[in-house]
Amino acid sequence: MNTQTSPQIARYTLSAQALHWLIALLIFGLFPLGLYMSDLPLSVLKIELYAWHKWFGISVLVLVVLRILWRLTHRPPPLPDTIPRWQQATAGLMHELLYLLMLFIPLTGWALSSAAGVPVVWWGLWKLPNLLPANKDTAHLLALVHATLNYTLAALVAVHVAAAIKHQFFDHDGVLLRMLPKIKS
Amino acid sequence: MMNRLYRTLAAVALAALAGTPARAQPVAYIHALPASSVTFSATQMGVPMTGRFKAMTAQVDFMPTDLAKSRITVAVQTASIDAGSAQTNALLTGADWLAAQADPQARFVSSSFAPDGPGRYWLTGTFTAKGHCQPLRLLVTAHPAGVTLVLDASFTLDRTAFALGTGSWADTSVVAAAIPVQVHLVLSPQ
Repeated sequence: MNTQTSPQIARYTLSAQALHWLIALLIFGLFPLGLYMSDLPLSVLKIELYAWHKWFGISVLVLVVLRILWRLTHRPPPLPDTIPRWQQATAGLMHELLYLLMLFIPLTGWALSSAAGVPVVWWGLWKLPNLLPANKDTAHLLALVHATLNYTLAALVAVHVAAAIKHQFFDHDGVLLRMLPKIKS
Repeated sequence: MMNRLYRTLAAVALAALAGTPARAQPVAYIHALPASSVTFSATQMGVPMTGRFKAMTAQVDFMPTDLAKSRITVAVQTASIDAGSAQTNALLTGADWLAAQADPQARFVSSSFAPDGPGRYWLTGTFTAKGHCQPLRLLVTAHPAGVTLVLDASFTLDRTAFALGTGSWADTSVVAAAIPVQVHLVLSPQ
């Protein structure tokens, strides 16, 4: 059980860890930003926040694509045998759902912007193609879909974080350490 | 706007002269048809957004054979701005932008017309918006469409010169200073 300090722990590669934590940081910023900005009256601040939300959101999309490519070309470090099969299967399903949401949330945001008639110009420099023609009803629907997917992601992230805490502080099985760089003692 | 009109008028006049040299009555264009439009675009955080004025009027007195007597006035009702959403329109008609209550009209009044080539005219005049006046010189292209004459002109408005976007909106890194404006006039002969 006490494997958390063992040097034999199989970890994600540093690039996979960097992608995980960078995307986590962006999601933790983008979610409250999205909640806050949508209720603001039209103002300079609102325009800036929307632009940043879109720019960072598209950045998440790029990073998630890289992460999916990493997953397609690497085998993630195995979970300890002490974890029951059903929990391992659940974890696998959980991660697939997280990947799907991380992919489709920025895509629905991009499509929402297109449907709202506002093209996304990434960092104010690169105009992305519109995914959909401008249409108010479609924009309305996509806003709902984008929000629903986000609340789903928030719930799954809460479970994901709770599971990491449980494994680290209750099970002491080193699962969390797989996503942390090795610290030389 | 006016430049376009003038050019169109001139083009029509030239075409009329070339095609029917013996014609006694020179063609004059006086009515701007509902197909006419004034549109613009504004760049916010790098994103070009377009809009238009739903209510515009144009007084046109254009004789391609007599440019000295040709005149164009184009006015838009500032309250009729349509930038795509009610929220944006309310903002743009407010005091920080067009101040539509205090300044219900933005207009161009021509002062002179000069030919620039076949179907092209330089139109000089004054543009007034939100109590600010500036001279404006426009290249107008004119091309006949059936019995009508179409005049097109575009110019770039520097919003800071007309106090368009004051307060926090004065920041041109959020909404760019340059506002390209397109004027499209469809004229019927007298």
